[in-house]
Amino acid sequence: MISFEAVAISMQGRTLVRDISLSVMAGEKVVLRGRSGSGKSTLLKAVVGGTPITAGAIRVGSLAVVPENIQRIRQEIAYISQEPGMSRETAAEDLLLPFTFKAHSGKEPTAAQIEAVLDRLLLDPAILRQKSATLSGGEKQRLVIARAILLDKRIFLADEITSALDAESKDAVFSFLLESDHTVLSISHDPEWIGRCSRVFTIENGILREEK
Amino acid sequence: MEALDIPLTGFALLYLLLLLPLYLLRRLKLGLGREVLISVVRMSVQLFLVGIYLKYLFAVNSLLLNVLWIMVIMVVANLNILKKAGLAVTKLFWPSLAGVACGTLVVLGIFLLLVVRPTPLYDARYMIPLAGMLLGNCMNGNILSLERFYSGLRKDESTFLTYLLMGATLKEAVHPFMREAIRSSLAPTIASMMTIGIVSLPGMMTGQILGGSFPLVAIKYQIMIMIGIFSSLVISMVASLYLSLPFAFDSMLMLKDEIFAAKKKG
Repeated sequence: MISFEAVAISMQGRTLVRDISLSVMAGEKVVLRGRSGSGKSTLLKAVVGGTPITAGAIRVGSLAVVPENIQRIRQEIAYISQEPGMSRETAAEDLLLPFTFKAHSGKEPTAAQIEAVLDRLLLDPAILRQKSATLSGGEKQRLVIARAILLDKRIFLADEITSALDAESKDAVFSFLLESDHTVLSISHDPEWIGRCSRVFTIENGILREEK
Repeated sequence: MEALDIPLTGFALLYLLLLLPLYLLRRLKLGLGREVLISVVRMSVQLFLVGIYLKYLFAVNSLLLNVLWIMVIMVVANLNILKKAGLAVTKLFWPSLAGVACGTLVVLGIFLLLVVRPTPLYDARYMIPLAGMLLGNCMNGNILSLERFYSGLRKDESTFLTYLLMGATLKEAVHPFMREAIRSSLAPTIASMMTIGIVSLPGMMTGQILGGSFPLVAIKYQIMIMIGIFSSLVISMVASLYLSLPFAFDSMLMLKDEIFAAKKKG
């Protein structure tokens, strides 16, 4: 589903990671660990063309991550960060933001579809009337996941998402992301998250190593 | 009615007035004395040189010279915009210049062709000061909007990337950043329009009244210039931001690092 083939990334003349080879199969849950600044987030962003690679290749399905394919690749993937940015006035506007873009116009979900998705993530539909700025970190993350479900994303890149979660959010996020058939490539230091992933890798001195 | 000329002794006293603020700055140990003195000397020399040049420009009153002068000040303003906004001149010179030219020339054209209608239309007495006033304001606004737009994108790259992953085109993904940059950069101009005439008497109007114009004529010019400034500001900001996009993003639609000016070491 996602494959790294001898990937190297340099930034400002410094090699951040080198010779990274890794295949994440469809439905698999893989987690990366490593010290701050070790290049984990950079590697995750490279999957969606957020960081240029200096050697090797990254593929999503059969598509290489190159300018010609980047739009199709981005359609498949959701990226969730520790503190997802909410740019609109209300939670409803933020949830439905993608449907204001040309690519999804006319494909707005019905009220019943929205309610079903919110229910799956243990979110009260009343949350949609709340100001985005008043939402907790966990609520924001669940809304971002809800948005990705409405967009029918199959691959999730999750960057340290558990650190801002309260207990209720944690349950909902864990069961959705880690017990579903979605492909998840994540970064985490949370032992509970790591324990529930199928494979664990560490990045140290720019090298990727699988933990047994 | 002619304005009273300022006698040489009065003019010299004007510089003595600076002693008071310089003393206060020194007492507060702000260390700004040298900078203030340099800026006062530069301001005086620049204005005298421009005065001499304008006298020549007004006397010759040639279309070619006027256009050439406006082009020169547009280039100087553009260099200043990019420098103050922390952006690389080599990467964004042309789109930024085109944006500044759009805002200044469209409004200047309307002023000369439809509002003031001097004879000849390129009369230096109208064309040059109006262009200078519009350009000066465009410059300040564009510094703010370009700086806020590109630094906002750099700071919040994850949000920008999230928009792209939600299916946004480049224009759709930068729209929230553009909206915020324009909104905050326009705030000082809007605030100044709100209070003009009550809190502040604008420089141009005061100058015209001192120069012998009737207050009502001066006010009409002031309203014209305020509307012009606002319009040229919005046009140049929007044009500069949109025209710079193809130069600022790579083929993966990510912001290029090289559009930012290299930080000086030390």
